Amino acid sequence: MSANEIMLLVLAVGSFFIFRFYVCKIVPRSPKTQAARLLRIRNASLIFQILIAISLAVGLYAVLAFLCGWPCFSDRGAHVVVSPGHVYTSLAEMPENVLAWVLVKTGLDFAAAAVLFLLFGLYRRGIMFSARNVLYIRFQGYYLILGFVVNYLMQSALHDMNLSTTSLFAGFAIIFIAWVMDEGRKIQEEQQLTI
Amino acid sequence: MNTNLITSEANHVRLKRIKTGSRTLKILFLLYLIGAAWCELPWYAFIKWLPQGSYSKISDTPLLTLSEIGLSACLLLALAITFWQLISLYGAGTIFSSRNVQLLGRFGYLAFGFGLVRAWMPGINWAWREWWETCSYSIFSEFFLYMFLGLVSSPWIIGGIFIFMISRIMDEGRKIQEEQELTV
Repeated sequence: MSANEIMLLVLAVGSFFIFRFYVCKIVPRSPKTQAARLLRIRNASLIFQILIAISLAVGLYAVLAFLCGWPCFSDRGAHVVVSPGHVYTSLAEMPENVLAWVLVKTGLDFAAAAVLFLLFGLYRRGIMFSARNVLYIRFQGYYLILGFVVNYLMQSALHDMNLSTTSLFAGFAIIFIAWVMDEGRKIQEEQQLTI
Repeated sequence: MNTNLITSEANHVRLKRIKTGSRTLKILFLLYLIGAAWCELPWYAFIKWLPQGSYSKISDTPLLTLSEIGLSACLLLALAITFWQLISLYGAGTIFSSRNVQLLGRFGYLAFGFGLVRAWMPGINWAWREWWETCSYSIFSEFFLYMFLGLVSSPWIIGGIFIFMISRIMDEGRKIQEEQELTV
């Protein structure tokens, strides 16, 4: 994809959102009833599920393009960036141990995207605060922590450290917030059962 | 034994655990801000990220870059304050209130803003420098390419959008629950 085509794509997406914003301004807002709220949640969740599905499909094709040498979106072909000093444009250039870690990291990325897809699926069905929601949110925290560990091992193999600890802390914070939400949900359930 | 008493005891234990967990996370967060975050302060990190290499001193850094660094530092500070407020609310036993989701939403769009500045700053600096030195208009297509790639590849931007979206959905869910409780 050339720079001009990308520019056109950005303009098209931008025009779409501007048009939608303009239409929303003209059309009167729907009343804040329970049904209207559920409908809004359903629509928003569906949009996000579609975006996640598209990114999963594009990501899968990009990975296969790198592994099998298929044509890719950019003129330079598919490439994998492990760290700023290590960019691989073909499978033959990549050492085996680095390839193994890249595949593990890619698998983790796909798993996290799939779990996010399932989370928005729960929201679309109107399930907002169940134990399963908490499980899926907690998974994202574990994904960030595992992703940090895999990055560390991958860059250790290359003797080139360029890590950020932000993802590690964010993972722990997400796990804590999920745990608090779970405890809060149990408190609410017990209060509802109390006579 | 009265089941209501057992239930209230269990809730008290849960709230106490949440309070202890919040306090622990606050201490860890402070240590993280002081320790690990010091190595990744925006003014140091951004200088490393510039496409033409780094500047050896702050006085060598252009004003545009310094203002971008200042903006990202303010956004980081706002993120830290919002996170602190959210953890404090959990520590006070407030878990599903409107204030919680409001703070979560604020965290989402601050993260989005930080990601936007961080992703686009190298492209803006590069385009500004190229245009200033060469007065070439052909750099604009590559400038938009930088912007687009930065937008879709930044974890802060993507994470911020998802956190904001989840906070909005939780807010709607909370209002539904409240309406159901008020309905006779």
